[in-house]
Amino acid sequence: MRAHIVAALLVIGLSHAAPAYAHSKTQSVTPASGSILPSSPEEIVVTFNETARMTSAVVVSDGARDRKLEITPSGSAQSFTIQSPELGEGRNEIEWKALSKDGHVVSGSIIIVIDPGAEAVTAGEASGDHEHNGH
Amino acid sequence: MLDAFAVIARACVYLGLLTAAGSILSALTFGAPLTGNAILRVRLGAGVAMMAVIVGVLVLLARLGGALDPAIASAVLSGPTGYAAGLFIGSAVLMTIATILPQGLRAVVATLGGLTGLMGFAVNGHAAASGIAPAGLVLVHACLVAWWIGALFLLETACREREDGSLSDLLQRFTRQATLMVLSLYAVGGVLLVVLIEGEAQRLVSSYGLGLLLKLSAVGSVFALVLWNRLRLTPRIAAGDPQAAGALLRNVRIELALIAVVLTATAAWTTLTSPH
Repeated sequence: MRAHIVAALLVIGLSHAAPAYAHSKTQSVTPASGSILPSSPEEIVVTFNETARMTSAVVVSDGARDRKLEITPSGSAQSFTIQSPELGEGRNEIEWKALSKDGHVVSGSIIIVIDPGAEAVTAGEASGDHEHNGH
Repeated sequence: MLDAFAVIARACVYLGLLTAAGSILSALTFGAPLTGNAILRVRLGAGVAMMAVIVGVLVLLARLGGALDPAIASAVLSGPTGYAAGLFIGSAVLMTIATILPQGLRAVVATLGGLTGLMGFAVNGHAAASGIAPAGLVLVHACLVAWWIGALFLLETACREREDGSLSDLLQRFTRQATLMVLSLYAVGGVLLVVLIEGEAQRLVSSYGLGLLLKLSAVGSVFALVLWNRLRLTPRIAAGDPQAAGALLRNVRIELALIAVVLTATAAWTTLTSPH
């Protein structure tokens, strides 16, 4: 039954074409995740390794309600700025989400501690991004 | 939970759109009019695809921080995801409209609609992000897979109607056309795989590789079926067994079911895993 053999070969061909997705990753975060600062930074800049669309950033602080932060630009870019995050004293976790170039959802978090009595300590390399699932 | 919805929605887009577009493309290559069951498949496939696209976009927006947030919706829909969704929905509308048009115009509008939808696979995803050439390969690949599904449905219909002459003729044409299709699918699939993993085989040693393994398991099931056909069914057909069409019908249905499994696995795989 040649028709069936051909059909089976088509299945193999289908499986061979399965795509491998490379999600966008953060290249740098300024100030870096893990930083301890005496006051809230004026801005937080998140830079990806390729163009993406950052869609949300929410700051989660101890004892405070989650607060949505403004991100610019709103469209496709490699670098995004969170203006005036107004982080409160203590531990702040900024959870962000983005649509990567290949259409997958990526997300991560940035932890910044605000301690008015501390010297500024910027973490070396801790962008804290992790890939979420696809779209 | 949202991830599961995303996978289901994507699988429904694959199944619906490829079935609808494939019914159109196969009717075109077999010179068969787009009537009867083919019309029903186009309408059903287009309807399922359209609903799945809408659900899929809403799920994506929710996963990005808010399904009802205009800013997020704008950011998403103004990019490749939005373009793909637009092409899928436009395709579904065109294909559905085509089914109520007069025969000549129907074929033209339906083909346009089918190709529009298949283009949707090429404008979003890693292949699209890799450049025009990989995106073009995805388009060709989607056309071939759609044709194959549509052709199997044609066979299924012919088996059910049990018109031995037309079934035999269709089988011959299917085999002839599918030979070209399978070679093309192999070539396109192989090149795509190399391009998408950027030639680095170690990327297959991951959850991505596990997904590939699952898909190949489904492919192995089809091979088992093929062996069974070769050993049991082919001699019966050659001997003019009147029940052979019934056996072929059963096997074609199993093949379609396996393709559905492969497409669903692909939806899960491409939604949930990455080689990186």
